[in-house]
Amino acid sequence: MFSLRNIRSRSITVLLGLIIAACAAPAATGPRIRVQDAWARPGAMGMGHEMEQGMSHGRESTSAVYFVVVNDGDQPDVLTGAVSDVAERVELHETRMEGDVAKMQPVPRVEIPAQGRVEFKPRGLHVMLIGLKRDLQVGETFTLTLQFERSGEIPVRVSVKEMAP
Amino acid sequence: MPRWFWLGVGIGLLFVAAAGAVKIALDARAESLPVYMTIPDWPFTDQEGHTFWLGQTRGRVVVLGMIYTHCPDVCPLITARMREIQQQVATEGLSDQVFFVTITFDPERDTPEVLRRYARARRVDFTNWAFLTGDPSTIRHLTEVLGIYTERVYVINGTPAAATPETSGSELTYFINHTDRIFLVDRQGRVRALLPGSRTELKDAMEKIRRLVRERSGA
Repeated sequence: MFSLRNIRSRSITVLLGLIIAACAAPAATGPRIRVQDAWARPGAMGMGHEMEQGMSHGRESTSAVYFVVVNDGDQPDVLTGAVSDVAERVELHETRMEGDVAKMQPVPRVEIPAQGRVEFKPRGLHVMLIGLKRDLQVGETFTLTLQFERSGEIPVRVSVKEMAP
Repeated sequence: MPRWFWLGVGIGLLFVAAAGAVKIALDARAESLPVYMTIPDWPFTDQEGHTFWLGQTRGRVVVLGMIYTHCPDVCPLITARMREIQQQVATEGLSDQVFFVTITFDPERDTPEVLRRYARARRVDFTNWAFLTGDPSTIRHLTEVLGIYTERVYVINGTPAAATPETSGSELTYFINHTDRIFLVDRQGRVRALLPGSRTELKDAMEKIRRLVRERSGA
């Protein structure tokens, strides 16, 4: 029959089992982000033209940065922006091909799935450098800091190349 | 031999010769590239600020692309593809027969100086390559002739905006949605091939360029 002592003993056993099971289960570690193969197109600094009709004509020379974001973690993360000393503004953009027409648009955020990867590549997602503060010559490097919702800021060394590596 | 025998041989030879001529003509037609349109002889301004008439390129095969320098993604690829072709043309000793022309469809921002710096940053060889800007209405008409679609998209602080040039704001700028294409033009100024711009394959482009180089002026 069930005595008080037996019940207490079984309860302790069950409790210990639950504690052991909890310890054995893998803990959620969150996203683990790394960035590979970062490169940018060459670009010439703006020509310093005066503003016309409220728009920064002429001085906003541009370039684009491409890379692969890998998430080895078990939680997704979101790329929300980027900054760099070489440009006045840095934005996330995407080019979409509709037939033979290339259409570009800003993208507010890019989700990096758990155990997944997202490729920023020509004619697709890219980081756009707007208003270059200096020329970007082939062979040079610069730092781009990517801003993630959970992983925070991750600095990336970017090589200037004409074509994809 | 009887006379009818030689008559038969003669007729047979004539038949073979005619069949050969027909085959050569059919092969030539199959090999020749179609004619899409003629490039107008309009004046533009090159990267040095000199007047450049498109008719100046008559007598040479022309590789022609349209871009804008504020385009960060597709237009640099178009330029890179053209530079790749330029290098291969030089390797094959055809530089004096093939000319390269890049024309901006954003003349308000792409001055000769901007174009020159853009090209230099990409190590372009100006020996047989001109970067052209010009009167906005002339360039608009050229895009219409060539079938190049362009559409300005205004952006404020990284967000698409239903803006117009009248809207003020230091962060207002615009991008241009556009057709991604490279044109091959023959010695008479006629467009003979439409290549897929940034996606152009060097092998395909060179095969067509060699055909156009082989065609004689006035052929």
